[in-house]
Amino acid sequence: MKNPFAKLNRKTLLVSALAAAVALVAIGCQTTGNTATAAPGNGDKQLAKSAAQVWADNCARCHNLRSPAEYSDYQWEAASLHMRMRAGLTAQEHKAILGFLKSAN
Amino acid sequence: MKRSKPETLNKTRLLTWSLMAAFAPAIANAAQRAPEPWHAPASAKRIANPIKASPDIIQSGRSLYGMACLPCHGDKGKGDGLASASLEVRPGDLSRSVMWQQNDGELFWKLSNGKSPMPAFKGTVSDEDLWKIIHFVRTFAPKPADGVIAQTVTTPEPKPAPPKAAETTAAGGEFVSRAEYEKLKSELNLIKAQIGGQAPLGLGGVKALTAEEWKAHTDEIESHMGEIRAARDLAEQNKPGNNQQLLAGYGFVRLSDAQGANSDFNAGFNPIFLWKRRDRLFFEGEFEAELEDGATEVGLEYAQISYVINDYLTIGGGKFLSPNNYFMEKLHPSWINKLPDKPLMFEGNDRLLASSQLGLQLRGAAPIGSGKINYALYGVNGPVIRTDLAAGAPPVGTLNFNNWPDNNNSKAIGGRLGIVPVPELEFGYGFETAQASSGAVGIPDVDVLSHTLDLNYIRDSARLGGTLDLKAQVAWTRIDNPGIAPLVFDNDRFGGYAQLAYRPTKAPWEIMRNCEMVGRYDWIDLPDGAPSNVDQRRVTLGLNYWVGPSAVVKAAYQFGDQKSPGTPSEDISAWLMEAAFGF
Repeated sequence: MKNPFAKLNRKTLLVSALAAAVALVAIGCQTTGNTATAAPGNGDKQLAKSAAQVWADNCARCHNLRSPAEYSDYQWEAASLHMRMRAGLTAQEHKAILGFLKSAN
Repeated sequence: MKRSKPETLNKTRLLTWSLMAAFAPAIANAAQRAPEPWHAPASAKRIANPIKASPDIIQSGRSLYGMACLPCHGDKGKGDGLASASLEVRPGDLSRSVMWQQNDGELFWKLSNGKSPMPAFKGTVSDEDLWKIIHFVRTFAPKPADGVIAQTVTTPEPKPAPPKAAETTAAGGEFVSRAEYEKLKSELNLIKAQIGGQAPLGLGGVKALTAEEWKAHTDEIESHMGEIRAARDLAEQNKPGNNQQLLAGYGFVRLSDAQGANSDFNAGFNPIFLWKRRDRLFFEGEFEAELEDGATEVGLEYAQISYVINDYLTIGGGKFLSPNNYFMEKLHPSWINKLPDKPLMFEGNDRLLASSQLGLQLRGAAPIGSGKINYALYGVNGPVIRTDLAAGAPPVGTLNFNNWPDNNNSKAIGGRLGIVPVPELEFGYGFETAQASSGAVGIPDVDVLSHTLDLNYIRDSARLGGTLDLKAQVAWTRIDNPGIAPLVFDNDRFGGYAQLAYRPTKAPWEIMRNCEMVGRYDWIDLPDGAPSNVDQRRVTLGLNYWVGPSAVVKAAYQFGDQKSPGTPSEDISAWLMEAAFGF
């Protein structure tokens, strides 16, 4: 099979990557401080309701779901942050999943 | 090509069977516990459902059920949802008529308080929504006709039974009858006696506590207070600090019997250490102990410090699993990978993409509409191009990603964008661009450009009777041809895999629910002009038995061929077995 990306050269990719990095950092700096301090609003309530679903949808994408009873609250804190980074969970999904695991272990 | 050493085969069979026999007790042990009897306290019976059932309420209960209960209890309430196979206790079957032996109040209490692994929904789901869920759950189980039904209180104050005619007063029931008056009077006396028993003063006509009784009560209270103090001390002593940590990882044992090679056992142990400080600082490290060439090699699979900048961005540095490589970053641990080996493109000297890299990365995820995207961008040491022609050296023109210290000043840049339009589906594009040096005098750095596409689809449904799991990834790596010996060929490399697995998680027997069938096709195409050029194609068929959500015994048969230009194709069939445990 022919490489469908044969025409993309190194320079184009480097420039796009640099632009993407600048954009990410710029967006990042504007929204700094949201993570831990976000006040629970209506959106959170909606998410909390479906936390079990968020857990099932995201964790089962790569591996069998692990029972909430496998780890303690404090162990889930470390495991869930590990997975937020590894699996590309959004901050809200991470919060919902962690809340679910703690309420069910 | 037929096997030339039948005695080896027999021995291997023997080994295979003994390995399977060794795991039989584990398989027998896997049995999921049936739910234990679970009774709500008597007081729960008296809580009435304040919401009247109606088609609208049931519909609303259905969608709430879909969010809170469906992953475990399943779409028919049979306790066979996606998560059911992973839990140590099988979720309760809500479709049996014995459900009617409990009233709504008892169900409400159970939903509110939970019982591991069922979460306590009090606080996360409103009372009103819980009552709606109960109305919907009632539609799963047929209502028995024989009066087994527990009395369901539908209004907070049940109407008293109409008084018998003989006791009705002339005023038409507005006054109590003599019998009712006597009953109330005796109840009042009883209450007086109870109050009096607890108060040393006593009420008129009720006996006060004696000094001994009073002392017995205070002693009892004092002893309870002592227990509370001891429990509080214990909790205080064991209060976790700011560092939250977890020691996880996985281990495996493997048996392979490949055409043209000796059958071979192997084992591995990969401990993972995770530390989290408050909400933002995180460290993850994994060691990899491998048995290779007569020695135990301990490698650092990854060691990364990360800082959560905000909801959308995390910065990390160190040695990390290559973010452009979906399989290696997310799917390769042996308790996750559904086959005993990795696809061709990720293993050996011919690998097309790095497994782990040394550098810095930015990554994160953001919700978009009803879906989400995730992204990663990194700068790393990048690969080395191999040019050593010595016998036994890895093939010329392949990439060595273990580039430390960096052998040139050029850093590789790469990244991946993943799109999750619906929860069942994720697809992504990853790339990496680098200038690779061979370190040899007279050979210039060459441009290396990789692209990779990945796909991940999961479907769990009653119609399928279980869970379907599709994974695929392809990668192209183009290395420039500088035309200087030994790099005098067009160095285009291409490989990929597609894998489909099915697990009948809704089957009636547990032994079937724990089985999983897997099929995978993988291939690698190497450049025709390269000194070492072996194209390979394989089909692997596997059967797995899940002893627990992260413990599996796998058996697979692999067949295919490999071909170099100008030589006949060669059979590369193999038997593979593996037992893996993630912890």
